[in-house]
Amino acid sequence: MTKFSIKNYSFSYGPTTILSEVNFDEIPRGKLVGLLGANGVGKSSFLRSIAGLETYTGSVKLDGSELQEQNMYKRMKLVGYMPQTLPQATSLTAYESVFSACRAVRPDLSHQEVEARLEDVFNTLGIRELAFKSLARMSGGQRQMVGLAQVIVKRPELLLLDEPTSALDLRWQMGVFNVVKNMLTNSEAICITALHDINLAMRHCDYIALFADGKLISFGLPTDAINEVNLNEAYGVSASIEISRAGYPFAIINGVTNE
Amino acid sequence: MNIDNTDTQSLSKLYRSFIWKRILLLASFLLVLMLALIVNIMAGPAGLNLSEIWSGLTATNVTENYHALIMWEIRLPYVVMAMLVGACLGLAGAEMQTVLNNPLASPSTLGVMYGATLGASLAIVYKIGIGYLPENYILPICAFLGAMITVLLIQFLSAKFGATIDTVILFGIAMVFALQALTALIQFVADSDNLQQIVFWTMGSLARANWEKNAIVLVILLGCIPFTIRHLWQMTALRAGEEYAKSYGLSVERLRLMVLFRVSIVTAAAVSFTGIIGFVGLVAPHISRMAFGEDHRFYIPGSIIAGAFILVGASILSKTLVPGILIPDGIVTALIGIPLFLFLLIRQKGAHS
Repeated sequence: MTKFSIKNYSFSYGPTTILSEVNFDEIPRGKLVGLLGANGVGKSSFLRSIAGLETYTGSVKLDGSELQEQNMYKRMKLVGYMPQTLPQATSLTAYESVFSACRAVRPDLSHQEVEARLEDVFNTLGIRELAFKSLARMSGGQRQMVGLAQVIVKRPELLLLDEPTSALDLRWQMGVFNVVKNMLTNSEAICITALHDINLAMRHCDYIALFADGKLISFGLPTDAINEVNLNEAYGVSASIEISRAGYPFAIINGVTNE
Repeated sequence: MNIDNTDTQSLSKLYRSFIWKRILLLASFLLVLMLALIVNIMAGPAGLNLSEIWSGLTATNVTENYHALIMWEIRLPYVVMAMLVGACLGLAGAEMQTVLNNPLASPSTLGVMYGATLGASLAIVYKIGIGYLPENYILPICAFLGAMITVLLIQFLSAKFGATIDTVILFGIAMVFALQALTALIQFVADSDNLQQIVFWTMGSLARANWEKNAIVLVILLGCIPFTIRHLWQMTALRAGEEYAKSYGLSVERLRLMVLFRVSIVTAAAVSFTGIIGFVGLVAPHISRMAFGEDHRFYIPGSIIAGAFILVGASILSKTLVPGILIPDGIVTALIGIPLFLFLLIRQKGAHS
């Protein structure tokens, strides 16, 4: 049964085509997909359009139904999108901001249900001690964790994360991916995340989509999608892929290529 | 809030005690406002003490009781106007700062008050008459129309060119300059009597308060509040940033236009009867934010009460600073508003570093 698929997707910003001819084979539930590619290649636009903040052409289907044809309310229930920007440094506390996020999207949930979800989210992410701290007094990394909490409290079926670990230290990066992967396993959701760190992507993602020059140049298992030739094409760097002693593939960047 | 408790107690329980503290704080805000109201009623050329106020309030025959006459005809309408106009400006300022995501925004940012000034100036200089309307209503009506035309222009432009914060503020600033220029033009052609009247109007004064005007402002304020309540969660969610709010499915630009429209109506209603009263709408949200944070269920009522308190307090000063002279309230709010605002800004900066 189809879970998530993309056919002949393209995205334009005014007259400029950003991405075209993007196809994702059927992705089963519970899987984590990493989006890689140079700055400005369209990773964020891709996520924003699937989330409903922009309009795409082509077909993006979750369980056989076209996302863009859903009404906004239903789509927001299905899809959780975490923007690349950090939550604003306001005087709202973490608890209040996650609470209002949940209330704004799901007015149907009872107060008790919202409270239970918040308890769960703050525990799973390990940020209980931030709950009653205002966002204005948090570090960037802490705010990013609150941003993630705002999205996963919705318990979406399709989770779209735009560089969710960009402000996090190594330990928290690992923590975030463990939480997300656990969530995918338990709830059978699907997650698509844009990343800059190739090694983080190869370590955690089930599939990787690599973009270059407005096209999807490779899609598949990390070790299939990422190779020296692809990395050169996507980023203009010469790299070698090796396997760590723990058995994970990783890329070493040797230098910048001239072309 | 004792953060160390977070290990042992459920977050929802801690949150509830957090909420209770805010409710108590809100109640104490109300109490302070009540005290200010009483002091305001006592203050004035004919000083009233508490028992005289009580006898005036409870008098059955108002026309024969001297205290009752002062109370019901002068002091009460005046102080109720101060409270209502302050509340309107506090509400308008708080919502404005949220939807424009800018702590410097105020009800006058988009030119609504200048539109009202232009309307009032036209009414004064050209002695506009509208049907059988009593003369003392023509000026407020023209002011209100001036404000509403300004609002509709900005709404139209924003709806056409996109209601992002930048475009809305730019249109607002353009509007402010245009309206100021037009008002200056009218002042230029006005004779000295009219000029004096216009200038006095821009100083803002509660002196023309009466029960009818109070009822009109109250109806408009009460009419807008249900819409505010409907948007409380959305406005709170917007505080996490526009991109996040959009990711929850909020139509941010639509929300912004609706809130701005509501804010403008409330502001127009407030200033049409009193003239320009600045700073209340700028400072009240800051006081509320410091006390309650930005959960709009508390931030908005907090700002309403703070706004009412500032204007009631300012009007006490306007009556008592120079005995026998009623200094226009707009001047007093600006004079106490500026130092208060600077104090708040500096304190906030100190708290962050």
